[in-house]
Amino acid sequence: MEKFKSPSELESFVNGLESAVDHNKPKISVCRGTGCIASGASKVSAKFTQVVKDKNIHADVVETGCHGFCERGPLVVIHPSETFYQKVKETDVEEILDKTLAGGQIIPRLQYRDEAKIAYEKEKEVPFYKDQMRVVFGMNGHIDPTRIEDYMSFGGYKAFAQVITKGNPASVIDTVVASGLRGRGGAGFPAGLKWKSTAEASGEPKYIICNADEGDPGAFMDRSIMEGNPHSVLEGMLIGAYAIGASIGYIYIRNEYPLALERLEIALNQAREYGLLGENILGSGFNFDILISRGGGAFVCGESTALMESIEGRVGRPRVKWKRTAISGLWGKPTNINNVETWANVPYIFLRGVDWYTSIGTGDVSKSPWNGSKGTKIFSLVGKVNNTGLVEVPMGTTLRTIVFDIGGGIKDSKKGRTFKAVQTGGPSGGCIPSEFLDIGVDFDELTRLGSMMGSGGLIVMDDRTCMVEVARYFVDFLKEESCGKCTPCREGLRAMSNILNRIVRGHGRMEDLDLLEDLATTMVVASFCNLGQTAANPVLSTLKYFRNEYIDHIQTKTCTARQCTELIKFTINPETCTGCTICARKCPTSAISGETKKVHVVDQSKCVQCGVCFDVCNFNAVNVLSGPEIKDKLGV
Amino acid sequence: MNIIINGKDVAARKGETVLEAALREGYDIPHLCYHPALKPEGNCRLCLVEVGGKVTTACTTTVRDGMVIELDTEEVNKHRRTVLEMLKALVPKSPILEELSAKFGLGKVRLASSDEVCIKCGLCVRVCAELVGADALAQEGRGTETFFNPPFNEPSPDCVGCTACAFVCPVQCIKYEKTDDKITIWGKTMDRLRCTKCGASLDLTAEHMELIKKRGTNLHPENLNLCDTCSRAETLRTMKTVVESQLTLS
Repeated sequence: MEKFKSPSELESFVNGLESAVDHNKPKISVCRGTGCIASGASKVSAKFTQVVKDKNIHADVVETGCHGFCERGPLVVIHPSETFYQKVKETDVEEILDKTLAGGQIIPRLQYRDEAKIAYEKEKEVPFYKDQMRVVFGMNGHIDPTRIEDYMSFGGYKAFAQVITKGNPASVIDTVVASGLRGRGGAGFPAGLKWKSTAEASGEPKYIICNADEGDPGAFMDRSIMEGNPHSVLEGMLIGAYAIGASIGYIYIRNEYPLALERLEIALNQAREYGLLGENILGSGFNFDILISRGGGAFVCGESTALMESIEGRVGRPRVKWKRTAISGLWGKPTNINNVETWANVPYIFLRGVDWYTSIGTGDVSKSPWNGSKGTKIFSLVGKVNNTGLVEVPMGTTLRTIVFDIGGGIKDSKKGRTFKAVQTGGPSGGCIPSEFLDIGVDFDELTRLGSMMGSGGLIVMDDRTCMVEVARYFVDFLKEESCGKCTPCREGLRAMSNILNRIVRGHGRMEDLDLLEDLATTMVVASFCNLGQTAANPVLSTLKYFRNEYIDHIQTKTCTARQCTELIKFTINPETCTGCTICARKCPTSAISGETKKVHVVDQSKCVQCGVCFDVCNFNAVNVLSGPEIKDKLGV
Repeated sequence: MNIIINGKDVAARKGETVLEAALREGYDIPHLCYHPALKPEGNCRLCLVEVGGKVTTACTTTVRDGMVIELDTEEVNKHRRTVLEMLKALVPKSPILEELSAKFGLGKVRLASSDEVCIKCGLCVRVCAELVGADALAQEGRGTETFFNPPFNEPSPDCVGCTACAFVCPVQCIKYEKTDDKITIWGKTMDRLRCTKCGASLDLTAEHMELIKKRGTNLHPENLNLCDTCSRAETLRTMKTVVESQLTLS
């Protein structure tokens, strides 16, 4: 293919592709994100392709990136009717083509149904999607991430062409400042201000880096952007590099993301073939190329200086910042680091305008980007909710909307499960209790509540989630991921882990609470990097909002949530047990005995407190005892 | 330029750190991972001070004219004690940690003891790489599993037996053995060279000599093979010759 020689050539090519799209032509979009591939999407899409070809059906089969609703995969959407099918199997393919595509009929079996068994036909009607605003993910369900022309047919690279036509890097930075775009990687630093410092710094060459070292447990929004729409990241980086005057870009991506890596590499080659990367881009004299640097998957390498150490070929440990990264970053040169999602936001700001962008989100950024949170944010919604997956909403959307409307509420609410807290910001974030469900989620509100945006993980917890155990889990995770460089992070986490493990086993002491607070406050103040400075957040926020649970564990050996295995015993209520035998059949240690239609009994000497009996019982006949109840009821 | 330490004007040099300025001016800031010959790394976090009301480490903060620094605020002392407590739990039997505990009023350690000997400050690795130039040591593992060893904890071909690592270690946990003709450190035994004049054994191995020659030195090359006494005598002799020749000339 020919390299574009001017921005106008690129723009007219993109316009041509855009107008050539036949919106009425039937299109079957099959999600091929990592989640859907894991549940068999490759076979489904191969079958669609084969049958459409064999039977000469007038339709396009598009293997797209992640649609977000991963737990229901493989996902298939039929356009233009937007019929949404979930958990599609290879064997459903012919039926879908015959009935839905040709006959316009719905196949009820494949429809999404909510907890109340209500079925939904179109993708945008499904509660999971209804309240979302998919901007960065906007093309994900429509384009094949391995085809640059697909991205262009939705206006891709037009923003870049326009930026080059204008030929004014300073105005690009002004636009990004005015948009209020703040870094999606966690700290929420205004991207435009960062770009400005790097642009103004002296030193050649200048570097830009895309931080794709997504490491929070359960968070995968960056991966899905790279898998589903890699060109949006590249276009964002191109615009940024042009504005900053950078000649080399790095994408620092963990090697655990093979599919994202593969698609990024394809995208980079396509961009080079079209002359969008390389020398004298679009005849403007602008030289820029992007290299991929693969990381080993250490959490600390998401920290900017550790990331740069890693790119430079050393062990990923944070280094002293004598000067800001914008002045002296990678190899001592001016460097600008932004997260994947931040870069992917950039093209849309230029394509749709600052006014549109600032109309989304909170605050008023007309004076300073620090005064609000603009645009959308992708959250990774997981935990005890009915609908889990990736959710893109305007900044300022309430936690209630995210958890109860999009997330469909708490799982097993019919069995009495209720919302307790939501953990935001990954391991370095904090737990927010139900009284704050109506706050709008943005950078400043979350920080005010003692948590943080982080990269956007949202873990929902119900009344059966022990908050001490949550703190213990995250502290143990961070203990493994601490680089070991500085005393407060390394030794503070070791000490907190010891204490929390002691408390969940019922060996805690009241003075442990003061000790935890002492350790935590020192870690916040005295740790070397952000990992250590935020590592105490899970402990501090649970101590702040759920101190009673700590006290119960210590004083009465009671796990309020009935989760800590060493503090609970399972018994069967003789009055409600129907003798259905399901618990006895499911018990992995054969600790439950009883005949059909007779009351069952748990043998405490065999029970390992796994909780399977509680989960499977349909009559609420399994009681979980903790603390003094154990002695009262079991006499032990 | 001037900085203000505990309310007093103190002279400071451009580019130096708060710790360097304060130590030079006679102020006492506890520190374990700082060594004047090496680049500061900010690992031990003991040198906490308040700069403009914010607690930070003195060794990684560069001075600015008019900077206001407080060394003994309640905040600083509290966090310093907790960091010290963490270190003492890590290495319970260390004289220097005992001394610091007494000085800063740290009572009983409330944390479980790890019974290790190394405080993981990394000075050994840095002196070996930055100053000696052997680069024979490395940080192994991460987090609480951090250890400092030659790679794979095997005798390293790069170790020259200079014992600089043991010398800078603030808790003296790096052990070595020295006999009249051998030196053993990190599991590697090396021969000590002998003074070419008097035959006394030198604190110098053949490996170290080779490294010094490779890297270049300010010392007179012929003096490298001499013991301290012979080296002094040799220098004196040279000086005498020079002075005498000068006197003869004048």
